[in-house]
Amino acid sequence: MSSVGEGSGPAERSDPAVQVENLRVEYGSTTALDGVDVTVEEGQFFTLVGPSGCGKTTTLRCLAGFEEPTAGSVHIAGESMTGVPPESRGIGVVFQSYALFPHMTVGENVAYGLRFSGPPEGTTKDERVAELLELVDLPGFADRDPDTLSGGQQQRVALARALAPEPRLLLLDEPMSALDARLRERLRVQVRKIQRELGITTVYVTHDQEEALAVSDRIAVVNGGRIEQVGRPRELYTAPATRFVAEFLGDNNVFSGAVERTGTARRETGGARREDETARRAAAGDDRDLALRVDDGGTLPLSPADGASASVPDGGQGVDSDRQFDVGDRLVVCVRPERLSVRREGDGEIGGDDDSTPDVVETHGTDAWLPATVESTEFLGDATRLHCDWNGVGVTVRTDGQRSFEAGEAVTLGVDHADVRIVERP
Amino acid sequence: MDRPVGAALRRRVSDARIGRTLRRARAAGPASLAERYALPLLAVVTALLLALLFYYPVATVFVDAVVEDGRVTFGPLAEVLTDEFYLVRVVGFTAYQALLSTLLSVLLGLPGAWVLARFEFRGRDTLRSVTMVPFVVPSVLVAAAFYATFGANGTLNAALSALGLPELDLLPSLGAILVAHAFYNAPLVTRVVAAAWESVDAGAVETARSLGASRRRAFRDVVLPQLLPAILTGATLTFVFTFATFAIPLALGGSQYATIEVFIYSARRQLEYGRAASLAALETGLSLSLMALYLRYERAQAAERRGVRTLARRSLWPASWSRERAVRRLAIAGYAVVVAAVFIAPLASMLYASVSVDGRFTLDAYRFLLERQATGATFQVKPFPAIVNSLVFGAATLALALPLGVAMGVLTTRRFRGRWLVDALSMAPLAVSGIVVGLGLLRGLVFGFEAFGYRFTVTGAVAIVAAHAVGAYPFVVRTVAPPLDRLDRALVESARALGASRARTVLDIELPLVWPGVVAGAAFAFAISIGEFDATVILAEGGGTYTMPVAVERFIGRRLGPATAMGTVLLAVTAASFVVIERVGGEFRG
Repeated sequence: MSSVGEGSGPAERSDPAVQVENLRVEYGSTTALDGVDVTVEEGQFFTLVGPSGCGKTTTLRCLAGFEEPTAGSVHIAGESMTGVPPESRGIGVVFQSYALFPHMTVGENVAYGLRFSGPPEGTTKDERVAELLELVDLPGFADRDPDTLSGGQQQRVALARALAPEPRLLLLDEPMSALDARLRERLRVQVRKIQRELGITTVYVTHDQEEALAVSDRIAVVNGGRIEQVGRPRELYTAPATRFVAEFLGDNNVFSGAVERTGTARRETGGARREDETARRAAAGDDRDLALRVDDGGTLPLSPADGASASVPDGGQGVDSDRQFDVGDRLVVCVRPERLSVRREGDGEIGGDDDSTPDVVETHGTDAWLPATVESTEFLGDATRLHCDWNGVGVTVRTDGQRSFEAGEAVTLGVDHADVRIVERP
Repeated sequence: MDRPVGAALRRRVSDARIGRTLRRARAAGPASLAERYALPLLAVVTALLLALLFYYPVATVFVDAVVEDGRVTFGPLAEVLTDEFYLVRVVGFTAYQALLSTLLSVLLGLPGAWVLARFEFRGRDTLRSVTMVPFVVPSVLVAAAFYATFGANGTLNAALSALGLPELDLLPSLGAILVAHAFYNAPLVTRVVAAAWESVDAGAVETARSLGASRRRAFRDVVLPQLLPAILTGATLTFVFTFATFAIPLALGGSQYATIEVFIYSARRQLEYGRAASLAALETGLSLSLMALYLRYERAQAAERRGVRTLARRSLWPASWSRERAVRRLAIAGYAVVVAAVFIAPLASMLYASVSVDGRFTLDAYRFLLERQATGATFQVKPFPAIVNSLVFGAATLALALPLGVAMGVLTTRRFRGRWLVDALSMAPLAVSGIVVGLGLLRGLVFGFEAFGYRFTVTGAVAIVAAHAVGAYPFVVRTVAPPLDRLDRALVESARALGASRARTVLDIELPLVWPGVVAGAAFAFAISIGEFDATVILAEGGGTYTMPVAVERFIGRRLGPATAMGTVLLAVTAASFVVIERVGGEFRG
């Protein structure tokens, strides 16, 4: 199985940088990896993201050769890695704990890998160390002891050390988890920049979905030893193929219920709705033929075209996107909190508060207004998050930070059928 | 960040990728192949050495116990088991004195744990380290020190007669044996219990208090349950150690208070190997089952606590006095007097006796140690060769035990199936007494065995080094393994990813980082070899391989001066080792 051609792969068809096939890892009776397939193209920044214990680190350790898979294969640049020890795989690894050798200086740490590979042609060991330290913005640190550095600096030394012997594959195992949030954001930008500059294929493991979305070329969402979905960050966010992906990446409202009033399925692309208002409203009228009766709650509009754009690349276990559904079918759907508009009683269609800040963008239509009560609010600075009660069902809404709401306030929530993503079908 | 650097790097990456694979392929020659199998090879060599130096010899003891004239008859063992004298008088007395010694050690050790864990005072850390001393103090040294104190011509009687009081006849006696055992084992109890006490979370006690428990009640409900396992640990170890006691009852007890080990020794001297083997098998069986029971219990208990806030320590000299505080301080002062009498007085008496004759200062005893000529009949021990032997054996032990222990340490910190078995097998020498090991080496290696059509024999000296190494290497393992175990696995894996083979990683990363543990282990090994008595005396019988401890034992009761002088030399060597252990790598998991 191969991924669709994004990334900066070479023009001619060559072996992918990393190819993992049907990887299984079992410890006694527990299964850590249950048949994982991953393809990473040359130069890609590929992220494995998932909750702790999902198998993402185990996958990385199989790539590095620290873990012997029970079954399946790992190929790096077309070479089978079966029986190849870590030191012969041509990899660079950065761990969460930095793992700098405490009995060596920064320079000795960076130079350690050069003991085995020698410095690149035309340079000396010292030049190479200086070059790498400059790359990670730590020039002149060669003689320092690792324990005199801050966490962020140590992590950058670890990165320089991993890159010094020119690995063909960079493996990053939660490298930022031990750092504080602000530093983490700064460092991830720097890591990504270095990765782009060197063009080095990188596999990144993190439990932080926000980080994964921010830095990756492609993401694999891992859960329970299996890959749920693989795709570009935007793709995964807007078109989650499974309920797990929908709930794991970003905030989401997930509803389950049964389909009511089935109409004829009508294909429609997202672009079609961005035509003029009248056409959109006409289309919306037809869409109201389909609705989801949420368990113990109200109804949500459904589009039969839902999922038409939700490709399920790289063999994720997504739903069959073109299938129609009938009355009575049970579905699980999700709506992003920021895709819901919120309106106070008495506001106009485009809601706003005292300073009349519009809460919805013009292209965002509304197919249904759901009556709800605000239960609690969280002010996040750039946004306000509302926890609402809609006929006994909890709904989270994210709206402009300028608008404020009171607990107990009655509101209506606007929803566009195109934003209702089906993540589980019969 | 500098642009050109990045660009230059990028240019090189594509060329380098091809070059790298080739370079690595070339590197995979025979040298790297050897490196790859270095660790498995190390494991095999270690296992073979252990089998040859420990398991085979000890097995021969068990075989001797059940085989007569080449047939399995269980005769010797049955003889011992059905003989009321051996069963009651020997085994019974051994268990009895071990039980009393355990009680005394716990009684003497517990207040020490309380003081160490709950009070702050100058020298607390030093005192804490000193509780490790019994591991390195030779048992004959303690015997000599007790002789110098409580013997007929000891300092106690000298003091009594100076005061015009009647002299006491305290040796040989059961009491002296018990106190000497407490000298060894009370510090062990103190150490183990103080560690448990310090790992009690102050938060748990404070929570109990906030919920309404009085101070006493909180102690009973929260602290005591966490101390009991440690007390039990200290007591079990003490019982096992004192059950297999040898040098102390031999020197201080005489024939009335002979333990199993003393009987094994006398059976060996009378060349009754079957009887010696039967007693040894019986004792080892009992010790090992007790140890196994204990280890099972310990595994069930094992839960390492980290990051707890320890109970705040109070000052020994409080800012304000209350009745209760004064009573406690008085109790501590009383305890200090007992500690001084049990621990310090014997050693001081020994030093004093070594430089005085009838209250007059003299270095005659030390001069005697350096005499190379025999000064009497052949049964007399020549002191100078004993010193030379001790140093040679110590060095040889170091050369054998250090690599063995480090290899074992590296192997036991690997994660693999059946590691517990490796752990147990490698630690077994701790649970088998020196007498039994010595007997095994004598029967198995010194008398020789036939294999592949050849007869293998070793000299007594080689067997002594083997016995010392077997006794010493578990201490190396115990100083090397904990820091190795704590080492971040990512350090090793980083080195591997950077191109180092597994064996290379041991040399480049692991050993440099646990170096203090290795040095401490070396000091332990040396100290244990220098002080080893039990196996040595079995193997040195009739040969020219006397060591310092054997000489001390021979001098005890005959010539106090040389005995105490040599005891002092032993003390100096073991104290030096202790300082090395303490200064360099003091984190022995004992």
